[in-house]
Amino acid sequence: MDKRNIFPISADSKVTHELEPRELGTCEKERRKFISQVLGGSLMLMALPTLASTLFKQGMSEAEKQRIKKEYLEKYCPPGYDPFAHQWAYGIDAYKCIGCNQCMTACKLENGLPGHPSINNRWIERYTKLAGDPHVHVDSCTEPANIAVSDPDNFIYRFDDRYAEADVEYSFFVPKMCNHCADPVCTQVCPKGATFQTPDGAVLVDEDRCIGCLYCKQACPYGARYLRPIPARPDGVTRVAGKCTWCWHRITKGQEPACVDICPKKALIFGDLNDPNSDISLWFKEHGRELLVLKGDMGTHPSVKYIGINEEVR
Amino acid sequence: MKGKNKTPHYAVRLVVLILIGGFTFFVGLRFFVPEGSKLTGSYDAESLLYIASAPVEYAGSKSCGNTNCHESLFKTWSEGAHGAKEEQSKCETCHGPQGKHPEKDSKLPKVRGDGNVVELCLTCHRKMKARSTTGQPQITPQEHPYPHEGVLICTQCHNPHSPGFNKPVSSSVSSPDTAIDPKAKSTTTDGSSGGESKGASLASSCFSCHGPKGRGGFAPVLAGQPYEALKNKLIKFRSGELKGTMMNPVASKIKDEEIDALAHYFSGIK
Repeated sequence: MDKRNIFPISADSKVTHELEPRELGTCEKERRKFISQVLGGSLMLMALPTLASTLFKQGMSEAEKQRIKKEYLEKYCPPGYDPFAHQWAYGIDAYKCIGCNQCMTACKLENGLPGHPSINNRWIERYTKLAGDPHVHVDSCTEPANIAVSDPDNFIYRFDDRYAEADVEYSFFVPKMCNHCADPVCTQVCPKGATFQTPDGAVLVDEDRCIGCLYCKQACPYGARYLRPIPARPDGVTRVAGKCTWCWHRITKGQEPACVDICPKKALIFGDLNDPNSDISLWFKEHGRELLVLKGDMGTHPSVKYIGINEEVR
Repeated sequence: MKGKNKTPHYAVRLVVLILIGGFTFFVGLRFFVPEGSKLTGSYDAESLLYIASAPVEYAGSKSCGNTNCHESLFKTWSEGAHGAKEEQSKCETCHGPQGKHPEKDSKLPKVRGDGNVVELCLTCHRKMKARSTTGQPQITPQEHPYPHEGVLICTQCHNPHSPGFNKPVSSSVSSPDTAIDPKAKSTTTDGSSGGESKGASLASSCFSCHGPKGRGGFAPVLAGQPYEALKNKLIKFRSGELKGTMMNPVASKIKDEEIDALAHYFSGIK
């Protein structure tokens, strides 16, 4: 035997490459039957909801809808306030904002938040581009240097003057808050149904239902949510998701949100889009083509619109 | 063949279990779903009433001026630089939330925060790179004529309710080199005795806030107050025992005999 032949197939052994045609076995037949049945069944299942909705959902007549709406208005809406009659919107003029943080103070005192600079319904960011520096520097009230010049115990928040000596290309303040999206993400992910959208466009949190799991915080593209300490509930929950409510307790009484009321530069505008002569309708009309939203590509359709920001603002 | 078509007993059990489970679920819904959720389908509509019931803390400037309480101040404000323009510094921008002020306490509203007036003004009026230079005047504290000797706070030259540079009421403003201007003696009318004339010249620096002769300013009335009360208050302001809106930095520079003279002067006015 040749020592070099290490392969087990010898040169004269025959290898057939042809497969002989044979009949389908029982196994294959069963499989094909199974697949066709599963397909048919799943199609049926898919058709069922549509079928059911056409059969039953049409049963909710106009009269029934009106009855539900009436009951909603009478039993659950604050007296004298019709959420169906309003469509609130908010405008922020970053050209005018001077970063005085008065809106933040007002918001905290109005909504009973603690003074800690990280627990905010709204905050202001400073965007600064230095000459010769490709990066844009962003800082807000939570930064240690800014806390050092602030007085959180007395609800006073300030920006330090860190760019006084620097060669600044541009710098501006941007107030940030919950965008009260028309298609909110937070309401979709909430496992308890604790966050919801009212017919007037505000996105609110039910403090009694929220368990503080913060799925909404993870879902929110604007970082507008946080854990808010509350007095301990019977079920032991001490912190729930907090967010801007557009001061719902104020707007239902015909007042503006506290931040809009307090702003010394009129950089914040709030109003009803259903009223063509409201502040916000006129402001939207005036700045029609300049209006920008944050993260428009997220498809959330924010109700808060900006002017005076650039593409660096996220 | 007949036995093959018979439904197996485990399948029967499963179906029965599902039926019982479904029944309890739908019956439970009727009892455990809150009334408010039955209407909306998801959230509890009752929370709307709870959210709307929160107290209003910021009452708005009009509520200060519409009442009979602060009419004159409101008028001064609404005609001055802080209130006349469209961009208004509201009452509560500086004084903090006053929604509960009329019912809860009868004390005069202080400025918000720790009472440091200079820092409060600088919140908006400090010159910063990010601030647009149009609009409100912006200063750098080091460049602005501050601190003069004798001038410690913005409100000594600027009326916070109607800012702009007032013709200095305080003699010390016109001559920053000396805290007490000797000429002030001649401007006061009741400079009969030595002690009173000294008090009068000292007191002129109080007028910018407390009004001429200690009456009619936005700060509390001093004229005609008892001598002991005035003296005690000033001493307490100086030691920091009493916290004031702007009196602590002012009182820190006053000497004992000056306190005596001031108290003597203001208690003497009728």
